[in-house]
Amino acid sequence: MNSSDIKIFIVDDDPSVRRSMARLLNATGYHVETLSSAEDYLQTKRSRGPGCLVLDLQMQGLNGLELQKTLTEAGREIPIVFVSGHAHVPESVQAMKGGAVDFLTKPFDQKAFLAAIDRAIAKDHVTRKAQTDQRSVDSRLALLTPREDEVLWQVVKGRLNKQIAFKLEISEKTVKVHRARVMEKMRAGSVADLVRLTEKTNGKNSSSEQ
Amino acid sequence: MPKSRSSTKVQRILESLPHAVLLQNREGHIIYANHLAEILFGYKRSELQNRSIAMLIAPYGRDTRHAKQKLTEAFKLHNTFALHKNGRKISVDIDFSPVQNPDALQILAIFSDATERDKAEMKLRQSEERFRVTADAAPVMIWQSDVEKRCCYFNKQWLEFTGRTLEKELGEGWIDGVHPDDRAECLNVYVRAFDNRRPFSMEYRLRRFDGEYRWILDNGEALLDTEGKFSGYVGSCIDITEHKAVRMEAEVSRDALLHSRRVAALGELSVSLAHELNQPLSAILSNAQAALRFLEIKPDDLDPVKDILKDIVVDDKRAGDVIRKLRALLKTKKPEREAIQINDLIQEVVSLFHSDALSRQTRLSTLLADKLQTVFADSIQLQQVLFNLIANGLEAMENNPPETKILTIRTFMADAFTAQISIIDTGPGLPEGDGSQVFKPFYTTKKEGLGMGLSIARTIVEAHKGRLWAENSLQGGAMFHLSLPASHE
Repeated sequence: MNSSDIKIFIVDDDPSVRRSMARLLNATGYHVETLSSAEDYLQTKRSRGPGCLVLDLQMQGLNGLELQKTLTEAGREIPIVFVSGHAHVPESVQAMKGGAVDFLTKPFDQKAFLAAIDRAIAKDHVTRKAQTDQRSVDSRLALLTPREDEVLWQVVKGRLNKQIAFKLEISEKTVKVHRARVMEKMRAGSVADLVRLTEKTNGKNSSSEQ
Repeated sequence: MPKSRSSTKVQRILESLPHAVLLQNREGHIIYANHLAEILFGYKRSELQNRSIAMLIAPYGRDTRHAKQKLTEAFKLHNTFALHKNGRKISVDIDFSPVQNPDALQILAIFSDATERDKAEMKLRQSEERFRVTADAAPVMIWQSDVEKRCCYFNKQWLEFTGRTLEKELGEGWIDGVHPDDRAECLNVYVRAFDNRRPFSMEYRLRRFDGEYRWILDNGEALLDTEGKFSGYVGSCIDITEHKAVRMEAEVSRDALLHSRRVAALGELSVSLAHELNQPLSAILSNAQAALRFLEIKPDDLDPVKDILKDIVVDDKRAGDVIRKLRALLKTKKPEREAIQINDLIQEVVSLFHSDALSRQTRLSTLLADKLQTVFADSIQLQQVLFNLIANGLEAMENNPPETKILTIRTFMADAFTAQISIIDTGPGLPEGDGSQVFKPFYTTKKEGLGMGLSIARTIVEAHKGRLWAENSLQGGAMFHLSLPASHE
């Protein structure tokens, strides 16, 4: 992966600590943006490229855990590497439960730090890939007519054409036509493909099935 | 008739003298007496004729040889008695002088009534005697000095204590008994008080008869005679060796208690203090590792490395500062008072609470007066008081919603001579409302508190001649006020 495309945000209220982490990441080839408070971070635009957030636990104003919660609630998913002046066990547990990539206690060695950053970025890649895929699935799903949509959900449940025809009270032939259109629109080569593509969407449309 | 005229003139002079005057011829007969002589002796002039002066001096005929005809030069007979006609003795001073008369040698005797003077002397002697009797009976050592600062009296207790004679102690002899290390200070206090006629109170070691030096508390004050004239100093001393030992023991144990409280309080804060250290250490480590990477990538570009090294130096000092403050708080040194800038002291203590306040989501707000006079205090003890008050304030707001967690520390001059520190929290306030309860030993609202913090804090403040009190603010939180006399330097 080309690390120069990656942007890492550092949020820490200690200017010296902020600067030192930024230098270490710069020297490793990352783009870095430093911010002195959680509030400042919330003001930044969501970056389009991959990246992660290095977040201090204790800060004036909104603290690290509160920022994590706020971001999750706002749907702004970004992998977080927490850094803290000391190891608070309850806080680190809460951070990890909230989806943090790692929880480092200052002072930390660059090996641990950079490894955590790598993991965070890898996680972001996965997330972003999944998001892109999902977006493409969503756009394909949007092409389906209501009837095709109904047929799709019956197909991914493993129903036979005959069963679908009976359920939807249409002829088996019509089911076949719809089914072919669904496979085409969803760009699926097999039922297995179709199942994989709709895996994440399943819950959303399950209401149409009784 | 020049002779008679001159004798009349002489007689007039003699009559006007405020003394009784008798003139006796060489045969030993009184040939002249003035009016006051009549009054003094109770005889008429005619009755005095043909008597001799010797017969008028008690005891009868005493020192007659002086009053005999052979008197050739003047002499004084003081503190003697004249005999009144009725037999009463009258205290007198007599001055005899020979009078060279053309006819013969005569004796002139002038009698001065000394009754009043005697009375005064008697009174003085009696009062002195009374003083001495009292002084000897008193269970303390007493000394007295004259207007020249020389000691002129020591009572029995003093002499028994030092085992020396009065003669050896008199003047400046007593100084020999003062411990060599205390001598200069002892004399200094005495002389300074003496020159200003002010009372003094001092402690010094004095050698006892058995050679052991004992601690003495000596209280002296200026002595005025009956006419209000300064007549030296008088002082009383007691042996306070045992008392002092107990006091020193108490001081040592108080210091130890203060120290242990300090250590305990720091222990509670240690998590936050670790954070204070970890911040700069973290920056140093990351900076150093970044520098190594920069050098690997671009060995010739030293500018970023220079910046990094500057930051490392600053952070190292920052870490060192935390250690220094910690060490200062943990030190067990003898209390030492010096002129202290209260604002600086507050900044130091507040900086130790930085992380603690952060993790409690509490804002520490300081409103420090620009023109604050220094106070004369022991910085460590004062730090401990502040430490205590701030820790209490932070704890008091534990259950507050975060936006109301504000601890305010204000300094200002309460008046021209008093500096004040107020520590104001927004917690539930003092439980009793009147604010005096919290200073009582073993009073606590905390599960794990000893209840000694505020009690010790007040002891410290009062030892600095200051005041520590508490009240509830209008908003309902507690306010602790600490006032200290400004030092005049």
